[in-house]
Amino acid sequence: MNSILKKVLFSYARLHVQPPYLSTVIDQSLSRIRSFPIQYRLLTYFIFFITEFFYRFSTLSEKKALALILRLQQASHLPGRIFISLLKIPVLLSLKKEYLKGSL
Amino acid sequence: MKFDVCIIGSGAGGALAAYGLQNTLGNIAIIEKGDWAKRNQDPLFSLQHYYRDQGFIGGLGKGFIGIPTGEVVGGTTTINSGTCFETPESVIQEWKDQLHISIERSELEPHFETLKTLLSIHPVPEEKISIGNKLFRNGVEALGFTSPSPLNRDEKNCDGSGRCPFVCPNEAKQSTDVAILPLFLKKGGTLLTQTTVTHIQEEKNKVLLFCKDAQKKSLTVECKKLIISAGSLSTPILIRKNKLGTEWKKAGNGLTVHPAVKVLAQFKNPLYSSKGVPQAIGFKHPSFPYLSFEGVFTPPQLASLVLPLDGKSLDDWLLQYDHVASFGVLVKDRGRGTVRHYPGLGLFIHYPLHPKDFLDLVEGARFIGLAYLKAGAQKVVLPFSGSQNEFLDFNDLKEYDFGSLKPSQLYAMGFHPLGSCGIKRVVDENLKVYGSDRIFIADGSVVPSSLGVNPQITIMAFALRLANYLKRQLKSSDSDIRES
Ligand SMILES: Cc1cc2nc3c(=O)[nH]c(=O)nc-3n(C[C@H](O)[C@H](O)[C@H](O)COP(=O)(O)OP(=O)(O)OC[C@H]3O[C@@H](n4cnc5c(N)ncnc54)[C@H](O)[C@@H]3O)c2cc1C
Ligand code: SF4
Repeated sequence: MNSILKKVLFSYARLHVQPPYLSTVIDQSLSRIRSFPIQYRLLTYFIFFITEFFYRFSTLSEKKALALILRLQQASHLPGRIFISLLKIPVLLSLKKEYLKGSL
Repeated sequence: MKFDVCIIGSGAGGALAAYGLQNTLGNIAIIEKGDWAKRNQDPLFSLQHYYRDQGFIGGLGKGFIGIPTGEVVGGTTTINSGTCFETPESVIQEWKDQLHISIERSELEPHFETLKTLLSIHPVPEEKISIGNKLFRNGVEALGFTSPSPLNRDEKNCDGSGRCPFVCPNEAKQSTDVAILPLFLKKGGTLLTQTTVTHIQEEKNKVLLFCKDAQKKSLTVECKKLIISAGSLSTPILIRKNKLGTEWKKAGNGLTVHPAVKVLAQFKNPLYSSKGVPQAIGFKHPSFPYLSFEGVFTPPQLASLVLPLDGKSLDDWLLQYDHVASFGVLVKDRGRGTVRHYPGLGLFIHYPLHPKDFLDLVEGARFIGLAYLKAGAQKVVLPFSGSQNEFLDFNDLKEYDFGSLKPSQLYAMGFHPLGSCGIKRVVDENLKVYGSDRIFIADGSVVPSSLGVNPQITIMAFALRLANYLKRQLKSSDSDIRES
């Protein structure tokens, strides 16, 4: 599971984070997931699993990964909303302004 | 351990019930699941340690509404914004007319007065109002509405550090851990922290509380009277699980949460909105009878969770966060939810947003966006996914047809869970659990219906009223506490 988590976290984080900070963000995101209350941790594992095996997220180019995230972000039904939120939460909570790509 | 009175929870209801009973009702203990808060921590640390389930709790219905509560000494008052509203006259009248509850405003008034002094409640001074709040005020005035006014808050020597929901760093906010519990302890009260009540058993002459302490060791506490003040999400679970009273099956129904949304606005110049009181001004207007507008400010990492954006747009908002102002709006909800606990699954909250509440929130969000654009914002972002949500132009937003939006598209939070053990449903007007001789409730769960304003003062006034009732009982000849 750890390697799936890392792959998905990397593939999402690289959309926002400058390369030198990627490992920091991934480590922090991982430890955040591990500290989530048990129900949410399991749900997050499940969502990461689906993201990797259903969408092959980590094999997508950055452009295609972004297009997928933007499509999921537009979800107007509840399961889609929960899916995209839990996918993003660990990374978003680990972001700092100076890590962001545009702050170069 | 034996006490005359035990109180579960040290938040708005529990701490004030203890304060009101002190010196009159023998020895009193508060049992609190959380620990004392450490000050001056990062907001994420506070979220992780002082919010129940790290703030992950929410209600599912047609959409999702986050419902954060505190799990710390002082309860949710330790992580709230400090805004203080007395119970609106119209709401008390509504209780009388619709629910046949005969609580008079005159009964609550002396308690409001006590609280004013005790918590140092006063309007936010002009110099402490954050710039983001002032810009909203400018926009509202430019739209031709009456000017929003400063809110009343409970604080002493607030320096406007803008971190109220993440534990005030310098004890300026008069949460119960700062203003009430130290007085209670000084006068000999007992506070058991990091102790969770798991089971309650009412017997003929006593109530037994089965608890687990920080090391998960079992502990039994005996008391003559019990006040449950565990908050609107926990009290109904304790009532249902232990089948307390005769109406325990009704516990957990009737939940209201004041669904709320916020709008962010980006300005050309830096605003540093984190400086100043984040919830400094409020606005109500007859055009929006169910809505209350209030200032908010959230640190960027947490704001990013409720920004319905990704890619470059999200990065832009986060990079420009020093230029961002925000304002929120809550609705006096017509919808009702339920709280249940399922072994293994944990808490489950069902909260279907009422269609009218949803429409009101959409219009409330539009109004905030318009006010900020009028005040010179370069762009605003509204809390909807699956629809246009960023607007740069006043007329575009004014004319935009949100008619196809659904509740599942809304990014909403409910900061004020109330009513899950309402008066005349689970407790009587004296807050005594129906069918019980010894168990009372004093917290948000007894509030009979949605208030439409921030609830801590109503909850505290109800707790002080309960303390008075118990003191009156003490004077009657059959009180076993006096015998003890
Ligand atoms: C971010 C935020 C901002 C807010 N801002 C405002 C505001 O500005 N003004 C306002 O009026 N209101 C505000 N509120 C709401 C207000 O603070 C709450 O409505 C109020 O504190 C609720 O009081 P209570 O007594 O019902 O419960 P709480 O204050 O939540 O206290 C319940 C306590 O019981 C403890 N507990 C629960 N179960 C157990 C158990 N089994 N054993 C032992 N202990 C237990 C909990 O740990 C908790 O400390 C805000 C809320 C939030 C989340
Ligand atoms: S603005 Fe800062 S000092 Fe004032 S009450 Fe809030 S956290 Fe405390």
